[in-house]
Amino acid sequence: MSLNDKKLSSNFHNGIPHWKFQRISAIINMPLIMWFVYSIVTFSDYSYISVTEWVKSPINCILIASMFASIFYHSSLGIQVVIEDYISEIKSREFLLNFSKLIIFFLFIVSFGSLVNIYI
Amino acid sequence: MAEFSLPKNSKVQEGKDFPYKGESENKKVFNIYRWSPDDDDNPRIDTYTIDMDDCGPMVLDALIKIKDEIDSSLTFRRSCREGICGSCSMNVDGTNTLACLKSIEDVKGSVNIYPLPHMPVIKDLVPDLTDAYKQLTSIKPWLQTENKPKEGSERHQSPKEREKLDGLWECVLCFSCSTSCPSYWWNGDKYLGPAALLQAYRWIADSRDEAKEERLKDLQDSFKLYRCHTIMNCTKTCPKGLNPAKAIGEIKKLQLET
Repeated sequence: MSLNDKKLSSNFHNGIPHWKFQRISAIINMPLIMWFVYSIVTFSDYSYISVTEWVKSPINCILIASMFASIFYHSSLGIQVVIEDYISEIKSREFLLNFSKLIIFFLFIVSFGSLVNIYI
Repeated sequence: MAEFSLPKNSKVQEGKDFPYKGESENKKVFNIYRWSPDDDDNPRIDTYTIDMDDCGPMVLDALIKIKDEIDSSLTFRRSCREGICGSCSMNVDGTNTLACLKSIEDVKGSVNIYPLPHMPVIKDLVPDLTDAYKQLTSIKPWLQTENKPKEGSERHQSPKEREKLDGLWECVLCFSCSTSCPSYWWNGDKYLGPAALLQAYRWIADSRDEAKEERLKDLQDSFKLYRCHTIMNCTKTCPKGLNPAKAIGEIKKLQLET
């Protein structure tokens, strides 16, 4: 490791928005996940019909969709930190950052699509 | 990629043994990391057994005794021997600390001594801190002002304003904190590390300094400051009992406000 003035003054992206939104999404995740787990645990009937009926309720459907959005967004921010921490080679890092975002977006679409499928 | 194993020529091997030849009821074993740039040998751990009835209470006392009486080739930094200069920082018993402030009695069993982790080694227990000092310089650790104080007057500070510097000014720049931080290990060339960031906050918090906004702006970078993931090793290891993690948190809070 040898630092020169150029490296010391080099700037990566602004870290404030990432740090802020990671915390905001974590705060949003907490009540949504607690509500979701509590709801699942307290089901009286775990049959497919009654569970889908519960999901079909507009309030539940909106809350589950919000939870998906918040969880996947938070995951994307978290995985970005891990990649930035451990992958120092710029090209590999850029590739993995884009790839991870693509995977997370795909997972969100699949989850959200399943929800819409049940709702319709 | 981050490196998870040591290169072949850095693997630590068993070294020489220097047993205590006299008779003593109070012996202590010191396992000390040794490496010299003068030969091609791998680093090794030399073992020294010394009579504690004839040695001072601190780890630095033992190191000085070993250098004076057993092995003059043992190399380490030291100066004030009272926790003020920050020279004798090293890894003792698995924790970065100042050898002069670490009591031998506090270590159960043999005492393992290594240089500060993840820094290039110059020799034995002497790490190369050149880059750490460059990082410290990059945060401009001096008073920056536009206005001059009134003729014949000093720059005044109320007791309350001065209190804000407590827990910051005491840093002796031993770099125990930075070298205990995993984020600094992985990204030490881009992340400034807790020592430099504690100093950055020391000047941001100083009521007399007039470059607060510029200092905060310089640290917005996602690597210089935001590689801190509040692991807290820095606070746990600081031999002066300071809290660099809190200082970093304060910088982040101020950045949100501006």
